[in-house]
Amino acid sequence: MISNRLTLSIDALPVEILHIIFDNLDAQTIFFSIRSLSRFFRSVVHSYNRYALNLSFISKSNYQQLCRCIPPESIYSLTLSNDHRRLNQINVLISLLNLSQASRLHSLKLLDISEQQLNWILQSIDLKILVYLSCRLRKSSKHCAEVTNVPPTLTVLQTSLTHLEFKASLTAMQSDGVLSTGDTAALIMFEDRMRIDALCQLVQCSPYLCSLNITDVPFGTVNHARFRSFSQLKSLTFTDLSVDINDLESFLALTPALVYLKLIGGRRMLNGKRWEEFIQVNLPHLENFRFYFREARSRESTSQDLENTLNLFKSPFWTEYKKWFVACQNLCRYQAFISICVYSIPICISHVDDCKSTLAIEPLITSSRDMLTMHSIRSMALTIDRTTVCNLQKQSLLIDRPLFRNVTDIELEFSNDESNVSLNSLSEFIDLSRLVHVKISNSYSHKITNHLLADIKHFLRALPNLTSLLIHSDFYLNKPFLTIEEVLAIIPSHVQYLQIPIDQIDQIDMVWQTCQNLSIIELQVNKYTLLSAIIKWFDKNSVNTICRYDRMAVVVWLGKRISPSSESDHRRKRIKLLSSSEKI
Amino acid sequence: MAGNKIKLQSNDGDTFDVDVEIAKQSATIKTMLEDLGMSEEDDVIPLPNVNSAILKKVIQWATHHKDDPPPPEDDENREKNLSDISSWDQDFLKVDQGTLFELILAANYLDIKGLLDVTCKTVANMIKGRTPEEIRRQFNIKNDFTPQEEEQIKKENEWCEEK
Repeated sequence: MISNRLTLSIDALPVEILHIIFDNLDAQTIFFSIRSLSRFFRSVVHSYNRYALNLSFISKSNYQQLCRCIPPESIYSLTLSNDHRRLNQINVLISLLNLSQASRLHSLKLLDISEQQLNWILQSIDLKILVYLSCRLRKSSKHCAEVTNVPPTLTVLQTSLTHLEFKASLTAMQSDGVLSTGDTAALIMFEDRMRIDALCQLVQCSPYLCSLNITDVPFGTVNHARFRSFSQLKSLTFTDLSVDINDLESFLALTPALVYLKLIGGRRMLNGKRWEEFIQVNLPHLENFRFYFREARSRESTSQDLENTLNLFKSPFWTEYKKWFVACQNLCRYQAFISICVYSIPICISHVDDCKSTLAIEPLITSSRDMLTMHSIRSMALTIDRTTVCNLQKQSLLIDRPLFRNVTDIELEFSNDESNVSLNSLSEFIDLSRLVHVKISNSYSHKITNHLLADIKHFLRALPNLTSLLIHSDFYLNKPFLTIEEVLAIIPSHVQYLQIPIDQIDQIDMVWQTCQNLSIIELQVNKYTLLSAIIKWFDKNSVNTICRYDRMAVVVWLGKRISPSSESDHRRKRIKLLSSSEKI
Repeated sequence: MAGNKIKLQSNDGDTFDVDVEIAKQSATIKTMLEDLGMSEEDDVIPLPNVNSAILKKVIQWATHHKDDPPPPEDDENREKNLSDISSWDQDFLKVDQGTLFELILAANYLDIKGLLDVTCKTVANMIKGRTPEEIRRQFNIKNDFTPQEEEQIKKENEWCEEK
């Protein structure tokens, strides 16, 4: 009875409640910290069977421990990544975890996986129990085999999948039979261009495919005699259109049942009247139309021209019947032309790399302040100077703060006039609690002032979910723009992935001593001799470490640090060096 | 129906008039009203597992969130994002640990998924990034392992590393 408890303690909570709390913790915390608390908690952890195992940012030692010690049948969700760490972490997992026993696996996310690894994993697990599957295949390169097809296992299975993402380079893909027998309400994402006939064949053979996310309208002309209508498609997204309105309309004419349409890019897309007529005739069920169109106009274009363009998106069809609202901005002014963009609000792009101009001008329509909030923006690049900060402050005044509520990745570049800029104001327009990845660079390679250094330190320490920190340097005059002492002064201790420049070998020791939670470190150098010295250092001072050269850097997946006294015990376990030409 | 309100009674006898739509955020109360045929006008719904102070907090939370969209049934690809607690909820949950745990139990008993999610996330936030010793201090947990058991756990971890 709740009321009879004077003061409840955490170990009075029922086991099923504790398991719900565990659902919000990473596997490392549950396995290494909670399990070590007491006999009761060891028992509660023992009965937990919904591990969400994300092995993206994790030291090699912990990675191996988790793979060996967590029973496969207790894994509910698994995220595996080779990602940009270039360390083939998935191969380590394949050797350690018996995926055929993962009988509760509902969600599987595979990032930058090779075709070979993907096929091995898909053959190992019971695909019938999967509900969510996301695969991002590694792009073709000289180091890995080119992806040629959707894995055969996916083309024939009867699945329970409600969500399938398949993101790959599929230039040579054969599309027959893809998802032809499953009842999957799938989302398929293709990154590279394929022939239009291949895409149409794929959709036609996938009667339950309701959502399609693709880069661009494929090459070729739609054969309207062969492919008449894809009425199963309810949602369609083009993320980087290069075609003009005619080609796009030719494809959209095949999708009469669309409820959701998102378009980014394209040419000659700014005729609101034409869109209105096309949608009325060909897309009668469309409820949600999101777009971001950019176009170059001559320098002679006047603000009246922009206003006229925008007015075509302001007819009763747009604003009253569909309730779609549109903004227009003049982005950049070049010598020969200006760049403008017209977009639905709220804005639907996920990355802003031109913040200075994007934020410089107020949107023309401000019917709803909340609609101007940039919920969709996940990553942004900011040049930190007085103009940017001033523009952001102006934008923030327009709406409820913060303007950017979901940004997880940010790149901060410092420019020459940074001397009076404060990073404190960033918290006024970015929800800092969401930031996971931060990159700091200084293309001008001038020294950072002490005031700004203190500012950066304060900013980074205010990011509770910061996982990766990249301090990028071009080694101007053979020196990084931050000294190692300055770097160490600003790094928060909870960072797991770190990229920094070093110019002395003994700096590795200083970094590892300071950042106890590091899993992966990428050391950039300015001399070739340092590359081999780094490998030697880790060979001498660690066990179970994997190193990989990457141009003028060494990427290190950290194993266990050894003290000189225990060195003899660990002599049999040295580092593994992956050569840059090693195949998976 | 008296202005679409119902009466909820805590286990220490206090009665609260609550809008039906607000009360129906509790799947337990919704079931009582819809499936068990309890009428909204004359019956008092007893809640024997919730005391007055906690019920008041639960009603306050449900009133603030009355216009929220229903939470997803089951997020198959649940991300471990601990930061998605609204600032209002963060302020609302600045309570002592005993109250927080009682809110969790009440949310579980009343089957209010949104409240259960946010309270459990709050506890998870109190655990995240801490060492076992820090977690013990935070929640006043007694380390009852024998030295042999502690050694065993340590060995288990080392065994994993050496394989």
